[in-house]
Amino acid sequence: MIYRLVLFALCAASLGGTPALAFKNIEGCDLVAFAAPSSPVPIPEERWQAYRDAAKALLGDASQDVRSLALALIDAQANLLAPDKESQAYQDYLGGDSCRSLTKLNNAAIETLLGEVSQSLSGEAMTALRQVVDAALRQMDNLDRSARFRSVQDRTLALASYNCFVAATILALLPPEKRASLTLADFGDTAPCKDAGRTG
Amino acid sequence: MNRREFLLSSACACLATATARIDPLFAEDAPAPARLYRCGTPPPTPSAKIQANRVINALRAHRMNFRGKTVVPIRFHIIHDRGKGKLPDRQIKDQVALLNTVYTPTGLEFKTIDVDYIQNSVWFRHEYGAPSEVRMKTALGKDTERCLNIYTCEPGGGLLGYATFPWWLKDDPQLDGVVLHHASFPNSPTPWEQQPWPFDLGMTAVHEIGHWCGLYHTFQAGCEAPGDDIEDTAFEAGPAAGCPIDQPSSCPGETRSNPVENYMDYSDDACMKHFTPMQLQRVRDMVGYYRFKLNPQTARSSQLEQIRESIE
Repeated sequence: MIYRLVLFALCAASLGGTPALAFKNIEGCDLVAFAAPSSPVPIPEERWQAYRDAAKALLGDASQDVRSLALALIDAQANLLAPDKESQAYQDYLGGDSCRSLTKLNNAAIETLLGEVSQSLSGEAMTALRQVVDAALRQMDNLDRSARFRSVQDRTLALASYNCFVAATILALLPPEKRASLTLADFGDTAPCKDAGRTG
Repeated sequence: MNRREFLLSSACACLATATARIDPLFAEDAPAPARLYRCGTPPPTPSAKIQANRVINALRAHRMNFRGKTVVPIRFHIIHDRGKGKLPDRQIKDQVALLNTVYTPTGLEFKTIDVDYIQNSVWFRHEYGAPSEVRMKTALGKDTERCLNIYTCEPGGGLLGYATFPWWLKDDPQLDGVVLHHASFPNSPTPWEQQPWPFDLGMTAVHEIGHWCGLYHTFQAGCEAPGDDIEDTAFEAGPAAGCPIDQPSSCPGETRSNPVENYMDYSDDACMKHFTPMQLQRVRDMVGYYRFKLNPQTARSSQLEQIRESIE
């Protein structure tokens, strides 16, 4: 079942949709927001479970390089959101004041959450997870240090895309009760989506 | 489905994904040679910062100063999409003239030695860190230890430009260089399609070459010490937009105003006016140490070799 879900994610990505860029997924922040019990877009538990299983299977596949792994995780995240993507509730969320993006990760919080994940993940999968997270943070840091953006908004969106991918990837692997207790602010600093150029 | 079947199916699915992404719209994430991918680069922080500071300390301890002129040969790679972005010779000359005006106090003199024109719509709109960046640089970059390779295109993700740092050169010589938006060059004969466009005076090249010479943004690390590792630039909470010269400092306890006129901020081109003396010194140090092959005299320096051995 898990393999089929992963395969489905890969097929979905191959057949269309927005092209993913490794380590970047601004919609990862929506996943974190929708995991809370008071979520404006409730996601059924079985879909969360399928996403979690898919992420675990991907991380446990030692044959993948870190970039391919990141792309597959982004596909799995897109797959989780896909049924609600066009819903009015989602569009309202994107256009409203409650939509927020992660502008800066809290390193200590990330370490704590990774520590919690490690309790239920095999050593090999945990190593893969750390590699993906480190690669995302490294690429973001390199970009932020060496680039000039057209606007502050463009910079905010670029950095948030990496942060949101990291947050959603870690979130996928936490136990359901922990997942539901988290907000974006537990991962770091946030800003309204409109500051990152995201609107409905 | 057993694991073997799954892996086989996954491989097919990946192939389908990769095939779909060979289309220019999807090509950014087609597989690339893993060896060259920037993820292989050692983390830039904090170890790179510490290393750069060790270099500066060692240079001062050995009373090593990089005086005199260093010629920086430039290889321009003008990537265009059916003529879009095909910079005329006049603009390239004007850009290099501006660089020479700004960087004269550092002893660097820029000299164009080659300009090639490449039609490639995927490279033209590549994203930072994507395999197409690696492919572009691998195919076009030349002699990165002795030249500055400048790629002009229309990079995605809202970028005007990006650069590699001098301490990355040793591990990733193929990726070394500066990428610039073609519409950032001065004296364009036609206005850029996005108006207003306050980035057309050539300052993006000045800014990115600042990174290529080892400078950080003035707002690096925000208000937290050591900021950008330069003592005579004021701390700054975040990047400036426009030209807010009369604003109070964005950092508590900072008596100096925000360095919005510094080339290493994000202000509009017309606002950018200077480097500080310590930024100029850092450029000399970083280029002299990490890009020593640019200058035959430095390349032969036994004193520099001693310093290198003591650090590395």
